[in-house]
Amino acid sequence: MELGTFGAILKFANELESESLDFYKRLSETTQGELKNLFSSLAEASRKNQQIIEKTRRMNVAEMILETITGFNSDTYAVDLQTSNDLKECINKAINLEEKAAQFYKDASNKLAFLPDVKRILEKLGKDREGRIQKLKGTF
Amino acid sequence: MEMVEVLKNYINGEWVESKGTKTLDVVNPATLEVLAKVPLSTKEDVDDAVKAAKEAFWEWRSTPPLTRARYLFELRNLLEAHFEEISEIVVKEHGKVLDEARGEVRRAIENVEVAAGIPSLMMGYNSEDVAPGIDEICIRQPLGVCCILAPYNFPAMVPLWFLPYAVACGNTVIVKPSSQVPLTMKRIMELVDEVGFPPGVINLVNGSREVSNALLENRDVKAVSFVGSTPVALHVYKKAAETGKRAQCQGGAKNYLVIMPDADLKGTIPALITSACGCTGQRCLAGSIFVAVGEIYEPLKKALVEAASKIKVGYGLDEGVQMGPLAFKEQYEKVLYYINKGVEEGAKLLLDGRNIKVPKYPNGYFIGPTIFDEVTPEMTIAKEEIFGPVMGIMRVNTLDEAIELINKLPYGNASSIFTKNGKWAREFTYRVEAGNVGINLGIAAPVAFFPFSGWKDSFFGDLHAQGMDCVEFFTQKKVVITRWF
Repeated sequence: MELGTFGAILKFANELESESLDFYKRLSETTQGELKNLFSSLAEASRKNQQIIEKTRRMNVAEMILETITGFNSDTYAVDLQTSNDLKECINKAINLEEKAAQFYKDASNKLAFLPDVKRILEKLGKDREGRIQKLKGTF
Repeated sequence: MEMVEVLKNYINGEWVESKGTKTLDVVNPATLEVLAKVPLSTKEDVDDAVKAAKEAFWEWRSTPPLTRARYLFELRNLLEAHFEEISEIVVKEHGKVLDEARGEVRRAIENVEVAAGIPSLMMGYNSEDVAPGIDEICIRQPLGVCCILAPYNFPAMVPLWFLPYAVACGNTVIVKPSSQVPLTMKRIMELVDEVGFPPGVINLVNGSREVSNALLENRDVKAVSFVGSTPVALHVYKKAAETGKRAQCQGGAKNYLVIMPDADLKGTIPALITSACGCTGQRCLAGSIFVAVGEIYEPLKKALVEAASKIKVGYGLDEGVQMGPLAFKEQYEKVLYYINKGVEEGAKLLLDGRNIKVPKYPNGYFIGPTIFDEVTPEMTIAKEEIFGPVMGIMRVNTLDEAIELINKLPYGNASSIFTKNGKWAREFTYRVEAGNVGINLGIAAPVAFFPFSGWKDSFFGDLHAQGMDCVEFFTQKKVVITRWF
């Protein structure tokens, strides 16, 4: 789907966090110990990110500069989030998710650079996702 | 078959049926679904509202400003809680896209937030020893019953340019929303009711011209705030004067945006497109004519056509859509008339928005972005407000010529310059005859704590919408000179 507006980008970000939340929640339910804690914390982080995104969508909409956006498509960031019994495969999927999400936030922050406060928030969310990659890689 | 709701008026804290028997359909301009029927209320309905507002005035005006502000805080919180819902209503009845509706509702809320500062905003001033042993104070007092006659293009924001300030200052209010888009105000009024403003403080009367005239002719109404076309603004202004009312009447516009040779086109093009096509061009700050100065003309033209042709037109509730339909059939036909007129008068059509196809909504009032080149000042499309996504390009050689073009217009609502040169920007700001000026900004829309400053035929009155201008407008000054023996 083409992300041609501020609202469309933030909506996709919200969906991304929602899917992440579901994914990590499912993983936390099928794992134990440190892994369970890690997946639970990632699910919780996505829940908080959703709140940040929703707040951003409502509070940072600037009617004066609602410029149209081109060349940005959500298909680029599509990921497979089916869980299975193969834990290694699931962690690889999680890493792929985080890499795609980090890239999305980076691209989105550039596309919305005309809204500097939104850009900052998206960059922060992207850094959060980058930080997750290291955590997930540390589980191997 | 589901019955379509006939809207009610909100008078004296109750939802009441209009005494009028005629109704108009409220239509979704994308789907053509009839959303509701709006009654054409009568003079009797208006008189009931004015009576309620008048009776509520004394108790409300003697309520401490801090308490009045608390009502506004509650209203603000409810508006925030229903932010998405109200935004969607705006899209359904007006047609603008969801982002634009959200932006509008945000601005509406901002006005409530600013007005909640009324305890400080409404303070007067004093001076001691103006004569030996004599002190003098100036206090602000409310006017009484005020009315708001709102346009169709911003169903949430424009009524709230005035309403929060009017009631914060201790006045009572009657709102007449546009008969084309009454549902947003209906929902906001339900929230007003939920807040529990004392009955009669805020009232709503649906309808059309008859309601406006009845309010204007009623001597118990002390002030009128109007936004609409210039001829109607002038009519309202005259009628208000006849009955001794204060008036702030915002009229139409024809906004020229100047693009200097050094303008950063990467930033300028999206700003121009947003200015002309935002809200499908149905805003009094919309950029309409782009004046290219010198050699920027060719690259500007090329980039503008390229960007405008990429705009995704459709139903505003589909999130990715960038431009919605015109708000109603007559406006759609009016815009088509102007495009045809432009062709007829010899302007060169670079991008034609007529006959645009929006597959899911084949009957919607859609017109795509339209660009004319070789527009001259004598052409109708250069002089009259179109209120649609129609852009015209003119070419001049100097900034002086550009300013001269703008200053010859009867309107003076807004104008912008795009440049990297501070001296040019200053020169433009200094000399241009427009009340709202943008530097590298396509929509020079003042925020809630600044006045919305139209000039010339774009505004009749002295004090504008929003902020301190509204506090001034909705209060009268009383000077008290004191001497104690």
